[in-house]
Amino acid sequence: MSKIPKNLLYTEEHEWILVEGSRGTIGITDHAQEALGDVVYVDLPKVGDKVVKGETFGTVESVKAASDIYAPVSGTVVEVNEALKDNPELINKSPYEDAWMIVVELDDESELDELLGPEDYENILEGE
Amino acid sequence: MLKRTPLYDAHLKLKARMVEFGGFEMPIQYTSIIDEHMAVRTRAGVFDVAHMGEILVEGEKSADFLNGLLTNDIAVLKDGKVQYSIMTYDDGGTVDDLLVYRMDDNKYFLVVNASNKDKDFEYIKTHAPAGVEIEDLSETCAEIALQGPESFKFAEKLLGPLHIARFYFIKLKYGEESLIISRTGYTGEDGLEIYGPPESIIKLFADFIEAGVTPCGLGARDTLRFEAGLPLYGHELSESITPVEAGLLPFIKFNKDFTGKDALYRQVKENKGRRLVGLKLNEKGVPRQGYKVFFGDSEAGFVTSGNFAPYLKEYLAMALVQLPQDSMEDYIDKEFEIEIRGKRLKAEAVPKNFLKALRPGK
Repeated sequence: MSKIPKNLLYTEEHEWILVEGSRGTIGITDHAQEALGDVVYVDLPKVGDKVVKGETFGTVESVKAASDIYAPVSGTVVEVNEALKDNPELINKSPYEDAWMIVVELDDESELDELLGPEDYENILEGE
Repeated sequence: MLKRTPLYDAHLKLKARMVEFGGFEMPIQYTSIIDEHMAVRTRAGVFDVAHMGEILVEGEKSADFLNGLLTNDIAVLKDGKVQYSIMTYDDGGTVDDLLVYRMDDNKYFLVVNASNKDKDFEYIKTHAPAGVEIEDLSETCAEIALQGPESFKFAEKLLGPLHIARFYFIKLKYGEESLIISRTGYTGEDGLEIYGPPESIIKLFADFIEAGVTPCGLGARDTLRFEAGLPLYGHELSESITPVEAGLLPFIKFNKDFTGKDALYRQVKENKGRRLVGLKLNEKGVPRQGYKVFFGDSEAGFVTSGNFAPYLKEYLAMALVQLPQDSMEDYIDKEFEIEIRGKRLKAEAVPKNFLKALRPGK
């Protein structure tokens, strides 16, 4: 069973967000990395780029295929995890910690209400 | 309804991730494609390749018949020899690529791609003259591949001493059954391909794993063959890609007649068609089949296979490109670009046998 930390919010597309004040740290879930298999490349936005809730902000490529990653919220990128450029396999090894992808300054905190809590996300995984 | 190989239950027991391939339900990976890939490069891995098709061609005229159908020259084969060959249409397009095992001068065992087996069988049967018997052995003959530098160590533990030169095969008694074991493979490593009745192959597969060989899925089989620069039907070869374009000239013998010879000979003579090149990305990104390739300002062709090569740790591609009339050597170190999701990334031409050319320490 995939790990689903209790302190995060989730999307149906298997991204997670850790909210601290007006900032959100975003990555992909354990379930997502498991389904993708060995990650060999990750394409991320730059600091200062805008991301829009529900739209793709990057791509994760595994040996098998490329997958888009969708922004759980809208905002401005304030930090990017540069370590993933040289070590994309961190996404397989540590999806919730070392392999965080970007930090955004949230545009609208009310968007968080539309995200899934850990129990709801778990129900979605069980339904898949 | 998807077909299953005799090893289907073994795959489920090993908790393999199963996918559809060539009409079969096959394991794509057991643990991780990269771990399985590295096991084959450094130790030994075992693959279920029982989905491949086996066709027996028998009869007095079988050598002449096959020589008229295949690009390579069967006349040079001795008993116990295996040969890589290609079957082409009149226009030079590829029916399939295959291995030919010479059992004796009137009996040949062909191993063809799973997804082409029915097409190949029909094609061969339709062209066969009286006195040549064609039999589809695919249902009764299972196959596994043991690949990697330690293959012989593991194989000899289970099967006793094996004296097989590269691209030769032996027949070996295993219990009551007879196996065919060839020193061939599709990974760029030394290794063996083993054919036999399903029960024996199921037992051998389990015994290899018990002995410490890593079970490997189709995912690693593809990254390994790609990293070794080996062609795959549907990528580097197809009805619309000829073996001349794919750079397989050593396997085409123009000193004999065969279907497609004129078209292939014309391509060689004219030397202005497409050709397969190896490309190494100088920026990070994963090239995939169908991505556009540019040379200078103009679109030159497309990627036939591309991926991250796990052992070489490079992002590589094979691409079919149309270039001006110089020799390929002139393009080594020249600048290509591959378009990946709207962005053009810089690439350089490298020998397409990536493993041999780029292997550390070589």
